[in-house]
Amino acid sequence: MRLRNVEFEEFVRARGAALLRYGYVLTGNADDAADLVQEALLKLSDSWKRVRSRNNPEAWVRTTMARQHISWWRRRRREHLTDDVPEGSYTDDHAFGELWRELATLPRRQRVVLVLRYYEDLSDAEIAELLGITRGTVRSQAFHALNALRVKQSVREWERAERPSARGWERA
Amino acid sequence: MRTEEELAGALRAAGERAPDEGDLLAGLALRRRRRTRRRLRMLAAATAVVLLGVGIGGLVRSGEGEVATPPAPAPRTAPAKRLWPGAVFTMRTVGPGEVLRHPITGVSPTEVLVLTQVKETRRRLEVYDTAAGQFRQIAELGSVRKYNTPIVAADGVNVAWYTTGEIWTAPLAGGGKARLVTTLPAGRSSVDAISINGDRIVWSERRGDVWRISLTGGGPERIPAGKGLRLLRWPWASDVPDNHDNNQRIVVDLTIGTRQEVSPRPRSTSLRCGPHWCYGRDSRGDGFLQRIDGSQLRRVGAGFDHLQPWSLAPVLNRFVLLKSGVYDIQTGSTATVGNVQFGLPGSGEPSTIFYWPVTRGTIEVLNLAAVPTAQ
Repeated sequence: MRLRNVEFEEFVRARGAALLRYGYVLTGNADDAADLVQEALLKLSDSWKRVRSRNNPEAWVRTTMARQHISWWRRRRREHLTDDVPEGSYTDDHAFGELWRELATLPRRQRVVLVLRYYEDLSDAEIAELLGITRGTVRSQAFHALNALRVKQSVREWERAERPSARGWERA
Repeated sequence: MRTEEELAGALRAAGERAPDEGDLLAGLALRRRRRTRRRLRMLAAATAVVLLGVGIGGLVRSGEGEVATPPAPAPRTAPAKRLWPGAVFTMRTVGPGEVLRHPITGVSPTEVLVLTQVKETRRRLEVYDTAAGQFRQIAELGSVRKYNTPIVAADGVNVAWYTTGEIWTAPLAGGGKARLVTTLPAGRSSVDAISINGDRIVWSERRGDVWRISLTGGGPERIPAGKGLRLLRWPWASDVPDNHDNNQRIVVDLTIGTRQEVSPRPRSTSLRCGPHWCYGRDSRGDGFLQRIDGSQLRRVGAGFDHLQPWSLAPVLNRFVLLKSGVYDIQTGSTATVGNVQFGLPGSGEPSTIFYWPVTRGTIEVLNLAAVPTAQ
């Protein structure tokens, strides 16, 4: 077996569970999470050599997943425009916690912004860069999402902006 | 009302209770097989179309008569070591005491900047002297976050680097102390390129705008001619970031503020220009070179896509990395290289080296600054 395959498989074995957890938090259900992780890993395996030498395949996969999740949503939304499917429709049986259930009612991009901010612990600037939107958009998406969930924003804006680049990749 | 902590807690709890997906690798293999079958079906359909299109394609191509042939003397294709023997050297990347080294960029024909990691916790900058075969220490970078690579540039005298909101400098000769030049305010600290030139450091922000600071004192100042631009390599700036398909539209000389409009070949993408040459992709995805004004069109082979960390603009106005090797615009020759490692750690300017592994712990480095000028 080629070396790069071995390395890639080692990576999947080591980080697969954490990526699935992240996928689950992003999408809200196990099927979409598996879909998202598999698609991102397939892309990673295509570019493994290049990405690995950048020292950060996991960050690459996570970024790919967040972007892919939003772009799938856009595509599917167009496809289902007439079906009147609520955005982020909640189909998972494993319901726990009111807050988690309410998250499923958010538009997908708002949800992604919240996950990146509160699960991945990224600053608004990092989120903006990752999703290719402005920081103002990140703030407004977060603002609307937090309002919908009735979450009070306690961290002042400047504190968030000044936080050093604490990427959450190393956590799980 | 709920708190942000409750939200973070709910997300973490959900993550911890995420259902186990079983064998991810098996799922991947299945998905890959499905994708291959789908692609084969699409390829079969596309082949039929191409067969129909051949006759027409021939006519269209003959209309593009301005494509120039590579210049004399007769270009050669040979391994880099044979074509430019003085420009390729071998370097150990692992050393005793859990030391791991990555070359960053060339600083002279015989010196290369190196990022050295010690026990995964500490990092330092070194220069590898290829003539002496020795490393010399430039500066300790302290404990650096794993995923936060500094970006580094050097002129003949000093090194400058950006890391986590701070810009530092140290003498290239080594032995001196690293000095904090400035701390960037929040919102201005997303730096994508840095150069040092004599007594000033210049950098650009990821969202555009070029800044400078004097090494002799004073705060950062915005360079007026660099508004909305990105630094390529001092004094040149571009209007597009490297990772976009859009063509570059202008090349700006920041010292005097002159703006040259780029005339891209029709239907091209990802065109990136230095002060003389541009490299881009045509509608079929093949690489080509042209001058900024659109003249001297030259077809070259396929290149890499824009995820690579180098600028696509020809390096040192002369070299382009293609799938077939390193193409020299001056001679038309191609130096074949090994499996080039992408992701050069943090060169503040387009890196002037390429490297590839030869054995475990050893790489070969092509230092473009050491390639002799064509006669």
